[in-house]
Amino acid sequence: MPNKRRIAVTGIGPVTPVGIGIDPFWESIRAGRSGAGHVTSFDTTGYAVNICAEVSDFDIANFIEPRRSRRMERFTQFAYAASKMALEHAGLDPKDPDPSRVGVVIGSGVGGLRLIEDDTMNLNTKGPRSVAPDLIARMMANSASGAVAIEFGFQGPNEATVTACAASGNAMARAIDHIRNGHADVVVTGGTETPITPLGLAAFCAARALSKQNDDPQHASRPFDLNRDGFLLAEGSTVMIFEAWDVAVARGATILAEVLGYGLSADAHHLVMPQPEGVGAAACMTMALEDSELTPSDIGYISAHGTATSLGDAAETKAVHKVFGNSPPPTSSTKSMTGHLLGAAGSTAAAATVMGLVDQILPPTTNYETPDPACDLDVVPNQARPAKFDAAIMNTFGFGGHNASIVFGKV
Amino acid sequence: MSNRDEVVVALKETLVDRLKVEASTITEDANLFEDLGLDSIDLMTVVMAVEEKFGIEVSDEELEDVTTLGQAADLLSAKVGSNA
Repeated sequence: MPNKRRIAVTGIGPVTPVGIGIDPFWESIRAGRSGAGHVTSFDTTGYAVNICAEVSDFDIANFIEPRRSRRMERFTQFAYAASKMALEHAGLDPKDPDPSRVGVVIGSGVGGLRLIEDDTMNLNTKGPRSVAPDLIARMMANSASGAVAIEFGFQGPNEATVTACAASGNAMARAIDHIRNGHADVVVTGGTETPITPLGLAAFCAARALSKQNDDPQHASRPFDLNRDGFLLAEGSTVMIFEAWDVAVARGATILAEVLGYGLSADAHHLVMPQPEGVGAAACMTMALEDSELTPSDIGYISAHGTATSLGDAAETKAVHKVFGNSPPPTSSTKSMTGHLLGAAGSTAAAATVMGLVDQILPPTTNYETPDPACDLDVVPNQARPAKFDAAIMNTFGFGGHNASIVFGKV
Repeated sequence: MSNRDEVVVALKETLVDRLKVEASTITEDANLFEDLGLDSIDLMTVVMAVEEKFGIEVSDEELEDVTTLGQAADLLSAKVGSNA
């Protein structure tokens, strides 16, 4: 096999419930701070669940002039702001690289759900002539990828991956391919999601997927705990700059971590339930290790999908044991703090993984009180932990049975 | 206020509130596309807001020759007048 082109992570831009910008984000994760609260953007009367993790204090006007953001839905605004911060973190002036060598791959589970809801109301109450002319352009899941390219002038490969909660994992995998294949030198990649809408919350409530700890939102997300009762719906976007190693070195960039490889698989089992033995997830992690030319013993940390559903966490535990044996490396879920950002979950967890490699710190699983025999892992309970580790794997799995794992290495 | 004045106010409101056009750049002679930076979808957004407010309808063909705010106001206010 020919040598693969090496890839660096040079920048990270989080827009999350635990912080906007890499420093506030990482500070929150290290401190075990929760981003949870009650839904503020609409009236939740009649909803079984009224808790979530919102991005507060976000104003797109802090990132771009209002005239340019008029066609950006909230999920696109998040992705634009995240991309801008990631480029700044990378020290990369968007005008510097050859624009044809910069790609954008930003995934989303759904896109602009709220706009679809609002215009469906308009359609039903006022008729077809009341539907916004720019509805399609704004709601489509690829609107974020397109808008980021338009605003920064990036003319390389551009696409949006739509694999539910694995969307940003699939996006990062595509980004790796584009750089390895020589189709781009830099790829702006990650995910974005804004599911906290009247219809979105109602649908997840109806699916019985969410934690019902309405009186205690900050302790609602309990991955791997015996008393976990579902995930905490969250919104946000995290975007990273993946850059060909030689290009990053040539411009004197600070390299945060190396992107070593990825795995992708499908459970081929059920639209919403994980394969209970974790077969698909294990195959995904194994593929990622092989692609990275690593063995299981090289991995010092697993960033789990760990959404805090009863079945999902148990299946992922089995998958981890299948790949890593009886003594797997520490395995934590940052969703205990951020909630579940769906299409942005993978890139958000990846951000914590990369910063963990940089600072040699394992992000914690907070709200961990009662061990579950079905989840017999070292979950880094409740407090971040210093550790020496050279490589880490991040898992992200989605409705539809999509699995993605990305492996990062210490510089 | 005349129908036309009311239409102009509604047009300006939509340009500023919805399309984030800088208010000081909006004049009746300003070219909607070249001076104010609108595209065809923006124009439809503005026209729809006025249609809804005044209960009128404008066809795509009628809009083809509209390039300034003043022309849009003329076209739309004539419809408002004929409805009154």
